[in-house]
Amino acid sequence: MMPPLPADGSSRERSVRGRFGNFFRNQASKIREINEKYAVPRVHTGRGVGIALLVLRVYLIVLLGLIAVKFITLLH
Amino acid sequence: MNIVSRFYYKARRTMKAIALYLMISGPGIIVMVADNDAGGITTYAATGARYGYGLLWFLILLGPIAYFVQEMTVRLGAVTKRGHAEAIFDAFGPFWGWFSLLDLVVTDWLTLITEFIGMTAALSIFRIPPAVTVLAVCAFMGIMVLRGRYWTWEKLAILLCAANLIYVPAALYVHPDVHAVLRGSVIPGFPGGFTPTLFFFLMANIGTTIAPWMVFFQQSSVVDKGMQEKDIIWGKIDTAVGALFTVLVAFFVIVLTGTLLKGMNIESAQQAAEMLMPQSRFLGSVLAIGLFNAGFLGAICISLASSWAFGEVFGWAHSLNNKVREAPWFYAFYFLLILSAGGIVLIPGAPLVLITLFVQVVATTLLPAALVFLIILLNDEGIMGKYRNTFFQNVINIGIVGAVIVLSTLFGISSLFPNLFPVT
Repeated sequence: MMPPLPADGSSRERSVRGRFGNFFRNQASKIREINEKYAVPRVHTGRGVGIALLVLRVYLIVLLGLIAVKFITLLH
Repeated sequence: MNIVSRFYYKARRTMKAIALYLMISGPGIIVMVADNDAGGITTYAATGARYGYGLLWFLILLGPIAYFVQEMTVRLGAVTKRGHAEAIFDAFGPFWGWFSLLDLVVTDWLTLITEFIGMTAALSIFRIPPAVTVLAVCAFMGIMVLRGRYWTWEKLAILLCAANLIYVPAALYVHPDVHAVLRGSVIPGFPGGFTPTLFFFLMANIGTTIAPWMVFFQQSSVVDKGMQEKDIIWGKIDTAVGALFTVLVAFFVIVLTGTLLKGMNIESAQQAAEMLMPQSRFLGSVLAIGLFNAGFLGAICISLASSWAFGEVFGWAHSLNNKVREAPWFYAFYFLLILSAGGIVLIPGAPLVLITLFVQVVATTLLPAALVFLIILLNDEGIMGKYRNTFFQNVINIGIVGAVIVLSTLFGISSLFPNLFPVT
């Protein structure tokens, strides 16, 4: 069996990069796992609730859009 | 003999009830008093300076409103044993789950920055450099979570809540006109008519009384404390006491500035403290210390709300009862939040005023989402069983949510586009 190579600068860099890569890969798979776990909503949305949530989506998109526009305007 | 034994039995039962309440109390009081954070104290100080005692009645009305909203989180937490973020994932699926989580983290982080702005501004009155304040606050916040358990953290937080009452003796010290205070408290009115400026102040007061992070914080706190269905009644009392405290503190801040600074246009509590210094060094110092305490209390709660929520969703160990090696991600996230928020305040030329404005707007804009989910969850029999909202609770809560949605939308739009509703 080969003895481990002494860690020089570049191998240390590769190992740090590898750890970061692993971390993000783990998080990405964790997010996929969460999405699968909660894929089926537990609350059965009737017509009223469905409409309320749709209105909420539109409301948030419009207002968040306005905030973004304002922020960009102020930055300029 | 019969009377004596009956009296003894009743006294023992009362003492037991008080002991049980003291054991279970905490989340409600902390969340309500922490709601009077740096931004809250600034809003109340400015309201008192601008309108004197004229809006005290409105503030008193906000107490029950805050109670009805927060009481729902007690039931939801005790029944589902889940924090709010996880409950939304479970009930509404990944889209709304991620939306709520990101909404919470963004608004929490921005609000945390404003807490640091408040704390550094308060201590700058005593010539303490912002860097020292930020470092000391981060260190103390670290010690609070690392050295103890949930119980220790909670009792320290309650101590800070008690310190918030510093405004009560300060307001009594200036000998306010009791008749005018009582009149302002019970007779509704709009001083100077219903102008856009008045509307702005009313909205700012609502915005400081109900905030999205409070919903997440109290539910997670109830779960971390391990409250059961049988404890719901105590959780409700705890929340009611907290609502009383929050109104009490806000009331006396308004009385203080309404007595000494009436008719003045102030933009921050720091400015109010500086204006009070020439009149009374004691009162100026009290306002500054109170502002620091409010910012600190807000910071310790807000940073935990996000860490809890992330822990719940990602499945990390996420209790203050866990050691660092048992819950490394929970603590790492906590420290990332506080260090990054504190660091922003120290950046020379950072747009702190712009951040403060956007915090208010983003928080009020996202508030309806949090409240709508709360109402839907509390009406689901499959989730809540016999603890679901009653007809009476629905009438009140849907009324509150409807009003908040309309008013917060108008507030958000008027803050973003002031020319639409010119503020005089």
